[in-house]
Amino acid sequence: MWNPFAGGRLTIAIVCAMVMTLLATAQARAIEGTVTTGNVDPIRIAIPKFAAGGGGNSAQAVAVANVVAADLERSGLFELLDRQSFVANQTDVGRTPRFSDWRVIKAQALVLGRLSEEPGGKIKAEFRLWDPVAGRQLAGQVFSTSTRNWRRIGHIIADLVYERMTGEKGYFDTRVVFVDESGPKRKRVKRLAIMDQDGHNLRVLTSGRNLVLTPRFSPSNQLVTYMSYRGGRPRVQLMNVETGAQENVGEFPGMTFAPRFSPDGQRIIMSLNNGANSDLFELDLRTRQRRRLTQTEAINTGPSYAPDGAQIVFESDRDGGQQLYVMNADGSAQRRISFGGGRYSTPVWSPRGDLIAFTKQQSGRFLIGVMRPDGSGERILTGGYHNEGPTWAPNGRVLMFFRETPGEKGGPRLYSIDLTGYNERRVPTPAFASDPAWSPPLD
Amino acid sequence: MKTGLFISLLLHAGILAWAVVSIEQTKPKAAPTPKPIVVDISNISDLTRAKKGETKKKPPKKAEKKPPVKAKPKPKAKPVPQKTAALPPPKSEPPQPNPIKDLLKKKPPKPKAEPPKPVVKKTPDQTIKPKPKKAEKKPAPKPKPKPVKAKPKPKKKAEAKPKPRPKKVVRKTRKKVAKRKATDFDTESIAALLNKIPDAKAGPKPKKVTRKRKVAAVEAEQGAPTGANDKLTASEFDFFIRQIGNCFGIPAGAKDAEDFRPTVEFRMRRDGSVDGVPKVVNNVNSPFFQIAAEASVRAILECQPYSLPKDKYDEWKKAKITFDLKAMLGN
Repeated sequence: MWNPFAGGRLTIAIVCAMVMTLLATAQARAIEGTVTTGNVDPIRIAIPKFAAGGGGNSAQAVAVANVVAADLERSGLFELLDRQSFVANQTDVGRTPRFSDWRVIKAQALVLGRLSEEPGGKIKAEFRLWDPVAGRQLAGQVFSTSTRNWRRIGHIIADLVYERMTGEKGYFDTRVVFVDESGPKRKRVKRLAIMDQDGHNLRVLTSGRNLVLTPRFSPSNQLVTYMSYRGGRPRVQLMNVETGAQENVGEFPGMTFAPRFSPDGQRIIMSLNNGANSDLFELDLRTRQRRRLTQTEAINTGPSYAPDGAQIVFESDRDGGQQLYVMNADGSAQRRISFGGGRYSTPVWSPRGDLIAFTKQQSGRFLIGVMRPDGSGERILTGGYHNEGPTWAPNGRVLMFFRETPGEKGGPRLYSIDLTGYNERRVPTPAFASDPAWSPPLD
Repeated sequence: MKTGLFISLLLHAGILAWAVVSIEQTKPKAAPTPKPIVVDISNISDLTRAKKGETKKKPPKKAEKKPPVKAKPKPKAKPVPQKTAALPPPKSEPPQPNPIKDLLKKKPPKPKAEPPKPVVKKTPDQTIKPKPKKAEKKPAPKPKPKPVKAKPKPKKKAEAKPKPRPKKVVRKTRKKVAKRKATDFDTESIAALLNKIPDAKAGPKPKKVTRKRKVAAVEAEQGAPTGANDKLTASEFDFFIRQIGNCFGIPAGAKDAEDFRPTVEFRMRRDGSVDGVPKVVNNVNSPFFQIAAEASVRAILECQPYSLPKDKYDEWKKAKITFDLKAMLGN
């Protein structure tokens, strides 16, 4: 029997289905595409002067903002917008900025901050990172520290901005230990020195009576190992750069070269000279036990651990000229990885593990380059009369090295370069400087 | 007996004769006249602007003139100021509850950056490497059986798909067309008209097929040029994608981001500005992905307003754009 109610329900169902289909069609109607091109232009960032709040020092507040700005600009990934171009009056960190004012000047990021004094000789720093395009806050934090640490506040803020905008860890709150060189070329005084990565807060760590060479930071703390020649006898030294406490790791027969920490900071790897040859040894800092890793009739030196400690890269002339080799941490499976023309030396494994930096000598020039751990993808980043001793920033994106200028008045200076090879900057030092070693991030 | 045999032979002969004659006659019918394909050199934009046919014809001139007239004033009328106009007018800032207070609760004892350590997962390269296409080995052309053998199989001919036939057929068609009245509209006559294969033996080309008819025939196939233009052309779409790409700053930390493909959905107004906040529809639990997703949203917002044809607004009012970082980095 025909049921009109059932028929009605059927009609309703059909109508509903049609409406749903129409809605679904309307919903699904969107153009779809894939963007496969982008740009590598620096991020346009606006950093107005920080405000001084609560009786704070306005000059210091501005100085902190300038530290942040200088760090980010030096990275090559940010383009600082001229403060003269700002149209916004409201730069109070406690209020939402008027985004249109910043979009007008095409700012892609905005940093607002305030510095206030606190009792007990402390300062409080607040900052906010805004995205004027999307109109939202990306980061915000407040710090409190002693007044003398005001530069570190700037570096820390710069690190946070850098990481939030690029996805990379920042490297601004770090230090560099290096050999400070003074005096005439033939009678140079070489002292161990340390400074912030931007060249500020320089401190000399040794007196200069003894020759010092090849300082290297521990990857896990603020210890430095270096070679010291007291009375012409080489010894491997350890120094805590915070306290200045020193320790003699040992005197070894013959010459010792290039000590470097293992990733866990518990061992030191170095090369010991034995007649015309030198081999690699590992020294356990707790037991002071030595372990031989290479045994060839060649000069094996310049060892550097992979960040996981499983492998070691080093240089050797076992096949004629200096070339790079990789072996397991126990000395097994030694294999050559460099096959390009010229001589390769001073290999350093990136903290990210993806690249090995090196010095290459070819056609009378010294080049700084990188290659993958299997030897592929060699790229030269910079070259010149004499470039040597690359060291990695903790984020594995920037290298520092020294460049020597020829002539009687010439000498070594420190430079940094990023992995693109385009952003090369001189690192300011008061005198000549060589053998830089980048610290891990400060605690 | 002999009479029967004679009659039988006579009948068979008769059937055979009829068959030969009738098959000969039907042969031209069985051979389908190949529909000529109009081939012309044109740019991609013209092709992708193929429009639906319309009952009411309008002079094609208007349709041709329209796009340039529309396209020109767009950027001029609303260049940079449009951006600002699209943006909300400067208001007095709402007095917000000071979020710093919340932060103060988290006040660290030491100045300390607390960024979560991003674990850069190196995923294996998942690109599907296209296998090198092997050249399709075509069997060597077999010698065709004699045409006589093919004749007694008219069924196969009927089933066979129309394929470019030998010139013979065309010639026959042409001859037929020449015989027919030129005033009759016929696809065959159009075919003959458009056939550009030089044929010395063919008779004179039918002259009475006028330009009007030619246009009518083309319109019948492709649609009138003034019809509804509801699809974006490849050029328009590419320009839109390029416009976004120009504003996309590849995050420096994206080097290891093999699988970073943030997809963003957003709506647009008729003037090409973005309506509301673009939404990232996929998510990967990684700080690097977050950076890439934010850069994607920023690119979409920064590049507005988009230069898209207003008459196709229904087509582009909603967009779903994927940012392929792997392709950008050339991995």
